[in-house]
Amino acid sequence: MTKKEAMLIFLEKFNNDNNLAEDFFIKSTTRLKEDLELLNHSINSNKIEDIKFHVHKMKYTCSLYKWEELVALAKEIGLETSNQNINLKSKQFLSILQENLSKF
Amino acid sequence: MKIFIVDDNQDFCDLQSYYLSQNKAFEIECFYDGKSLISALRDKPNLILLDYYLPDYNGQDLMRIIKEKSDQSEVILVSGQEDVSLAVKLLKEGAYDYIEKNENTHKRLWTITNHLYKTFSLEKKNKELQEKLNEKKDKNPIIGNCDALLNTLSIANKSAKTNINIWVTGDTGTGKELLASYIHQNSKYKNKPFVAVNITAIPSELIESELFGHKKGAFTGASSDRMGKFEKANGGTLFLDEIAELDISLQAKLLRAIQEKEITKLGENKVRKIHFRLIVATHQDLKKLVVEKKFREDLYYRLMGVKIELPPLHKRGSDIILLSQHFIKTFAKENDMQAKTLTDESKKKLLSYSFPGNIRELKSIIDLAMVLSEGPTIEDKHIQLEGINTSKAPLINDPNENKTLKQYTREIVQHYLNSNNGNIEKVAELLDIGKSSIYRMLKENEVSR
Repeated sequence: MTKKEAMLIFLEKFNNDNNLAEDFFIKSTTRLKEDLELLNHSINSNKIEDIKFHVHKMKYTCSLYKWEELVALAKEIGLETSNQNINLKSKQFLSILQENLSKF
Repeated sequence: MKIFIVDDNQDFCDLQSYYLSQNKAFEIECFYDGKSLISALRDKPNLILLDYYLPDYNGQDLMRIIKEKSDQSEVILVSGQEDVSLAVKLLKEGAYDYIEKNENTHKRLWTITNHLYKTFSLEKKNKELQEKLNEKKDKNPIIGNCDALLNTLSIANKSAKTNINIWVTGDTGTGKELLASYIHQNSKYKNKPFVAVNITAIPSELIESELFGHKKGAFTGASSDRMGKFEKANGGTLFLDEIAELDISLQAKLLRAIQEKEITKLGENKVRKIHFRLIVATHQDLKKLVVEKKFREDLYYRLMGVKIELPPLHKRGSDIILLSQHFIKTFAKENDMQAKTLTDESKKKLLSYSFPGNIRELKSIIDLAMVLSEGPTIEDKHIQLEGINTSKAPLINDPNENKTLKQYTREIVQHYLNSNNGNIEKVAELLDIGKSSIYRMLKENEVSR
């Protein structure tokens, strides 16, 4: 997804108000990057509860960007009980999110 | 309407805040953790949109704190957990609704918050109207300070604090309905309906339907469902005036309504639970009617609670003057006139009269005096104690004939009915007697219209 495609989503959400859409886009991507850092830190220190919490927090924003793969992965992590699988899937989540954000 | 959005995802807060702010009546504030919400609860928000998972609290614990600190606030839980059992649990604990968090959440929230806004607005309006109504009623208290009345009011005040059945007795025109309304206004039921029913004012064939209601088609002419007086008084006070006039066959149904707090509408098998405070009144001796088998003994004992007797006006001494002054003010206000004062002679005249029609009669006398008096005072000549004869025909045909008082009463009422085209309300007003007395005489074929 390019920035232009993301902006189209937010323009629709903010009734074609370009300023609001642009402002929201900047804030949400900044927050995603911050949360991504926190998730990365939790994965490295293997804090399972923190991993689940950060993934859960980002799930809603991912749904706004229509990143269905990430939303599905976040749901799986939320329901997952094996620490090993949580670690594995969260790394996958992190990698896809980094790639998506790099396109903006 | 004050709305708090509580979510650690600021995108969610920003977006929902934007959508909800489209309704200018919404005042929105966002919080990103539980702690900051708790300290803001003193502002008593109407609605809280609460994320289940916050960094410092879970939704369940936070909801309990909200209910403790701001019990009027409705809580809508928003979470991405998609867990039905969690939703059911939270709804049971008092959440207004549970919404799954996704990109369409704002649509559902918009519908719910606007629906809630309508409900809050109606509740607010209802409360304001109720307060206005109470203010209006407070402005029309029972007037007087004689010992007999103060004693009556003292018993009424004590009884009002409980849900004991109350039995008001007193002569016609002493203000039995006013006292019942006073008790209602001073009870815990005061913000609920006060429904007064005069049994004698309802034709016998309609009384059951009037009291208990009916279903459509229950009888010829029942074209729609109708709520009865019992149901209308649900949660409040039901005042049954002239209870002794209730047909013996309906007394059993009344007993069940009082005893079991249950009613059944005409033409329906469904039993409806109701809750109300009952106040009854009669001018008759119920004990005597029980002996004569005209009133059910079990109902008599069921109704027995506190008996409050209203003193007749002639025993209330200087209250007559206080009431007169009140009626002068009321009449002047209603008719855009200046209030007048009573001369000492007119006061003496009023104080020496027996007032068989009690307060109702006094009001008529004062109204007439206000009309007759042209100056700023009401003189004794304006106080007409003889009643108002509107007919040129002789009232009593043969005064030398030996008759009982009851026979004379019948003739007088019949005379007035004839000269007023059977208008019961007018006759009652002219004779200063209750409409119920005339209905009772009509029912017993003592007079005709």
